[in-house]
Amino acid sequence: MEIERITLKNYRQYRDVSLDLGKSARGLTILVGGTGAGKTNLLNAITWCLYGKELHLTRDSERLPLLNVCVLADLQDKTGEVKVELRIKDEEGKKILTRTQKFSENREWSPEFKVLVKKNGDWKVSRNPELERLKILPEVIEEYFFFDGERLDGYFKTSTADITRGAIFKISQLEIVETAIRHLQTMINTMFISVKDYEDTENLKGQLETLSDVARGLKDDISSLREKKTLIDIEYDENEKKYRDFSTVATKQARREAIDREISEVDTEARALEAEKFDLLLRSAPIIGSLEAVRDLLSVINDKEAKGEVPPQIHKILLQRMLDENRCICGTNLSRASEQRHRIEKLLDKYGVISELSSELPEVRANLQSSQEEIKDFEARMTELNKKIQSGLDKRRTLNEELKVIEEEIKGSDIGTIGLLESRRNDLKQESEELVIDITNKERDLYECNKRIDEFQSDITKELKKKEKHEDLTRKVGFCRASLGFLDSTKEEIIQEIRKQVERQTKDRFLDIIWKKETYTDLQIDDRFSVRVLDKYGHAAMGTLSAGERQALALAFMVALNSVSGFEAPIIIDTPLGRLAGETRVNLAKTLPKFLKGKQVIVLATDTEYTEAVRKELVPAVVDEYALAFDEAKSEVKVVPYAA
Amino acid sequence: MGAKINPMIIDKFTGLDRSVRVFLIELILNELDHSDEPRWRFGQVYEDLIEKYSQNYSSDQENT
Repeated sequence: MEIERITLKNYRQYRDVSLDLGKSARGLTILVGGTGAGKTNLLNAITWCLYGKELHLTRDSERLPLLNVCVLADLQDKTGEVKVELRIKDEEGKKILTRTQKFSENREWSPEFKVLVKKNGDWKVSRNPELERLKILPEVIEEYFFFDGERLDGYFKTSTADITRGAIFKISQLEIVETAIRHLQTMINTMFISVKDYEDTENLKGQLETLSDVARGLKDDISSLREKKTLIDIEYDENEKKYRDFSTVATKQARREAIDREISEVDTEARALEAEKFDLLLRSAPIIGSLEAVRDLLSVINDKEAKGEVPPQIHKILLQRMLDENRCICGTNLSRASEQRHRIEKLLDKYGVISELSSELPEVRANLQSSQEEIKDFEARMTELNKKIQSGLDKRRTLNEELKVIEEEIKGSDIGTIGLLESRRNDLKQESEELVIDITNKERDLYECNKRIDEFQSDITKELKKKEKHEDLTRKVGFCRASLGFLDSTKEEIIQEIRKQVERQTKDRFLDIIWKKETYTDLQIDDRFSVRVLDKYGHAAMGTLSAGERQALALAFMVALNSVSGFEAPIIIDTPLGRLAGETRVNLAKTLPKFLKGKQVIVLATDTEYTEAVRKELVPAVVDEYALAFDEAKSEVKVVPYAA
Repeated sequence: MGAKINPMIIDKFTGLDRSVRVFLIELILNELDHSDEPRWRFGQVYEDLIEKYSQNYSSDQENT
């Protein structure tokens, strides 16, 4: 890639600059400017345009806005725009890369990046400007194309191994290869995780086979049980048919047995009634025997009472006490001569004994009446018992009659056959019921078994899908591992080859440009990427290199890296000689055109380093010389032809 | 795909099985295209590339 023109608008101190570099496509362009004139910001403008970042900011620049400060001050309520445009030419043709950013007093918009590509004479907007940028120069290796003298000066001051290794890895894209290796390894790990739950279907198939055997066994059992049940049912039906033929006889036989039982019960009851009747008679016999006498006695008593022939009842003790006390209970004096006393004494004499009998009469009557009642109860109970006995006799007669009829009817029938049929019928019925239970149990087992078989089949289907996936992943893992293995071994080869290439190119350039050709005879970059400069005796001489020699070595190394990167891009060096003085500066200046031959090189130099002596060394390679004229009042840089 | 692969790397891929070679080139080109993105989610791109280029690959080739 070559830069044909850089256009800057309102970018920091560049208000409106267009720098034509067309002639310097294969040569050296010198831009000379004092401190603060904008040399480093020209580098920053290029990186801002390419990457949206100012990669070489100084502390002063960091404090200032991107938009030119004078433009910013005049904005008021308007907007201002920063624009950096690179017109380039690469192997694909001409391109214009433009980055712009709008600003107002209070706001800054996001930058916009646009790439125009010239195709068949017409400019077309690229659909993927970021890719265009990547094709031109990736940011990661920018530092090996755009660098400053300070960096060159410090490059080999300290330990070189890490710097050299880092640079070789970046420039050769080994960092990218390492990232690819890491990502590929992650993918392989992920694929392994995906297949870790894969289970061999053979094990499942074995279990399914066992279950299928169990199911087959159950089906056979059920079939056999059903056949058995069918036979039993047939036998049962036949038995039933025979049994039906005997059923009437059986019923009558049953009725006969029932009648026998009923007769037995009636007889038992009759015997109990007769016993009770006998007992009643035994207990009631004395009363029954005296029944007439009782009736007569009561009649006599009643008659006597009716006639008043029953003597009155007197209280003998009371009368005797009144006589002994000579006083009646009414208070009358019962003296020995008194008529009243005499009357009482007569009464006592006349009724003394009879009166006692009269007093017992109510009790006698009550006993007699009670006997009469008992006799009535006996008669009633006896009547009742007789009725019951008669009823039993009637029932027995009826039953006997019915029994006679039945016996007549079933006379000659085979009662034993009926019993056998009935017994067989019950056995068959029980056996059939047991078979139904067995069949139901077996069917339930079969259902469970079939359910498990379904589950296993589903599992196997899933596993087969997994297996398919597993095989697919195994193939992918194999592919990735092969690629990874190759990339890994290639990486090592590339490292060694690039190390050797960088070593050879650095050595060639360094020994070519170094002015003490007799002193330094060899340069090596060892396996650990340490750079070693050897003197003619084979001694390590890095420590004895002067600042200029060290900077020449760094430059040789940078250009070697630049060369093996595979990218063709301009080299822009900011103040390459600023830290050198006198003869060293001139010596380095002398070497620059040699190893930068054939490349577009832009050197940004201070007026103090671009001395007459330096200029004299560089001029043969210079195609353009410009000066950066900074107008501090306007905060503006103008690019003008350099006047020595 | 826009970025360029270092020709030395491409040279190393010469003689490889075609699918592995193209796969690796595309892999590196993708890495180059996303080299400015520290959090690039590479998974889907890698998966697609593996799917695409591993189709005709058999594990017997792994040792060749």
